[in-house]
Amino acid sequence: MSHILLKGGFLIDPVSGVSDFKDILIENGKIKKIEKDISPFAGCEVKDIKDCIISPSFVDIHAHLRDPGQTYKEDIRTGSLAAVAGGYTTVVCMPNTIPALDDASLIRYVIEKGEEVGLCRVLPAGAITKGRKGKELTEMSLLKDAGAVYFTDDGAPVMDSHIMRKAMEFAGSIGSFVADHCEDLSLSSDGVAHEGEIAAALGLPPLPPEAEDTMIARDCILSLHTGMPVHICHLSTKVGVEIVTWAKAMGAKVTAEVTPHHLYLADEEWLDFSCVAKVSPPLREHEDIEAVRWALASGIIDFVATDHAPHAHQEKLLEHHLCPPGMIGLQFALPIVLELVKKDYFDMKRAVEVLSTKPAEKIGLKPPQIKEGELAEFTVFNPTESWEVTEDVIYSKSKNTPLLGRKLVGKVKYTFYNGKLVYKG
Amino acid sequence: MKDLISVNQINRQIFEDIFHFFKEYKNRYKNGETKISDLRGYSVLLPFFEESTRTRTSFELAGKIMGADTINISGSSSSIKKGETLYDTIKTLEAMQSDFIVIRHSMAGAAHIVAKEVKSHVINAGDGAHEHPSQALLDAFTILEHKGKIEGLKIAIIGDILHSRVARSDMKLLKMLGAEITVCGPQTMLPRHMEVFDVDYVTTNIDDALKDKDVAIFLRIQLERQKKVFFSTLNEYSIKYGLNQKRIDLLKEDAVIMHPGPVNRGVEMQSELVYGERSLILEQVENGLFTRMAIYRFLIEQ
Repeated sequence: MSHILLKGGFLIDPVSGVSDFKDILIENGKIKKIEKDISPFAGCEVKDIKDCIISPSFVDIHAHLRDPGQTYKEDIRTGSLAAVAGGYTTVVCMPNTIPALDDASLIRYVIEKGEEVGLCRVLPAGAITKGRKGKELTEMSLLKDAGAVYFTDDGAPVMDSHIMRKAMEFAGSIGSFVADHCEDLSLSSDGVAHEGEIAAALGLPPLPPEAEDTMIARDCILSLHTGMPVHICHLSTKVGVEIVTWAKAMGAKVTAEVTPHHLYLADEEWLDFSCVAKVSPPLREHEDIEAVRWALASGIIDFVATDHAPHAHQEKLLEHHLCPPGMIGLQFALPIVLELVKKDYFDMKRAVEVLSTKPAEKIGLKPPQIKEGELAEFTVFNPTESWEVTEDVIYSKSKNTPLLGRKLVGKVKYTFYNGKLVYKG
Repeated sequence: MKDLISVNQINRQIFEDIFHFFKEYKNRYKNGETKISDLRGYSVLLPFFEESTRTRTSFELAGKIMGADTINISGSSSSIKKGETLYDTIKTLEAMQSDFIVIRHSMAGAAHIVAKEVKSHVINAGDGAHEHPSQALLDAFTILEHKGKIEGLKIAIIGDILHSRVARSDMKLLKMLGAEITVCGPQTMLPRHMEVFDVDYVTTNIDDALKDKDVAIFLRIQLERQKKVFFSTLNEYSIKYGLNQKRIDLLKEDAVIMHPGPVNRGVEMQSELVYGERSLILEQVENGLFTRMAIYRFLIEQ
């Protein structure tokens, strides 16, 4: 018999409504007891988690694990390591792999490889169109049977509106949904940086916010008319927030996510001209950051998703127009969300919701809950502990983030998955 | 100051210092002193990853007159085309241990990135749509020679502001020196966020822009931009934004006309005006030489 006793932590469990100091006793991986002041006993391993919060573990429905095909950037093992270090035990990986996840066999590959690694739940999103080329629908129902949790061509939009409409209808009719990388490619053109004052001053090829806004509007309108759900990936603009607000008010089944970097970093990251700042959608200006923060607080944006996008060192050394967009995020979501709690955008319960229960609900997972009799699956973090982002503490194969060298506040201490301690920070 | 990357680095004192060297070299040269040894023993590497005739020649000749060894690395022979990253190219350049690297590149920020990595003095000879500081200096010096001052002058900058590094450098430098700046171009060629440049007037009407100005600076239209719907035809552009005699009459009587070159004759201005009596275009080229000599000197004296 193995016993672990977590003592002194504060439990926040939005599903059961518990928000109180509780000790947790784990016996052979199962939660045996949740009570105030459980006394330690002989043979029990005690973990002092005073000042820490115990939360249902986090769920990221948008990460790029690059496996198969680009495992020099990341693979399912290193992606899983980064996930659990960030407090996540469920990660939905994007289908823009090589080949794209557009076939049931590839969906199975990801699931099996994730299970083999065993650190967390790795679930694939399937491609909307074959090869993510935007022309022909994939066999969505078969992909869903194989385990695809939703559909997206992420990295690219579905430019053809008719195909998008049909994809929404098909996915919706089989109890799934499509998620769109909203970018009108004819508007984004050769842009690399958000078309704001920074791009104007630095002479960087500008990428206008309307490239995202018009596509969000199109998707919302398609969703409204078809009655089918659509999920807006990595919403980053203030106008986008207004459009989603409108669509939700009209009764459209629209949901939206926001990334840690769009909540935290502005286009000023370009001042050093480094491609580390290049991401799609681009880092926006302060007004946009303010808008997406309040939208996350109000529920217009439903939850946080990392858009964890590893790229190799040599790729970020390329010239602006050649460098692939993206930055890693799995280990930074928690401290960035906690920063918003500290700044009073929302409370700790909402923080737990946007990292855990809301995204879980979106992909139809059993609601993450911490209760007696269940296998231990939760995250313990210290909301006031600060740490420095260095290459050494990043578990991803790739270290592409503008946060290198900066201090963040909020540190994951323990991540439990499937009854096992999978990360200790 | 190790490098010259942006006119943001130039305050009035630095401007005066470089202008002082400019006048010195121009005088010496005009008095027949065509070999000056101030850069003897120095090496100047000129990696130009984008086509250029006058800027490269100007920097090269300036170096040679001052006794430096100059080495050209032109676009066609550049390693960038072989798939090397800019970073590796920089490291290779650094390994050559030259005293100066004068770089032109199509990417905004290229010179800045190089300057951070190498010990050499880096001079930005144009980086994408970002900056072209030596052009702004030579423009300012040329204006100074003709007008005796810049403070209070009314200067119009006309053309493709959006893609122009010359505009970005000129606007900021001339504004810092106290000129009143009017910017004019088709709306499609004006940056959305003009406010960052803190210019005095922005207009799409060239007649309004030219009225009562002391100086009109015309920018080169990149002919290939036309494909990208910034305007319809060169004919339309030349009618709506080109300089003609009637428009010259809108300027002050003693106004001067400038252009960083090369001019698209019949587009930015009518052909016969290119070297007309108001035009300082050839003086700009000549002053470019002394400006670049002054920049080398300024940087080694730091």
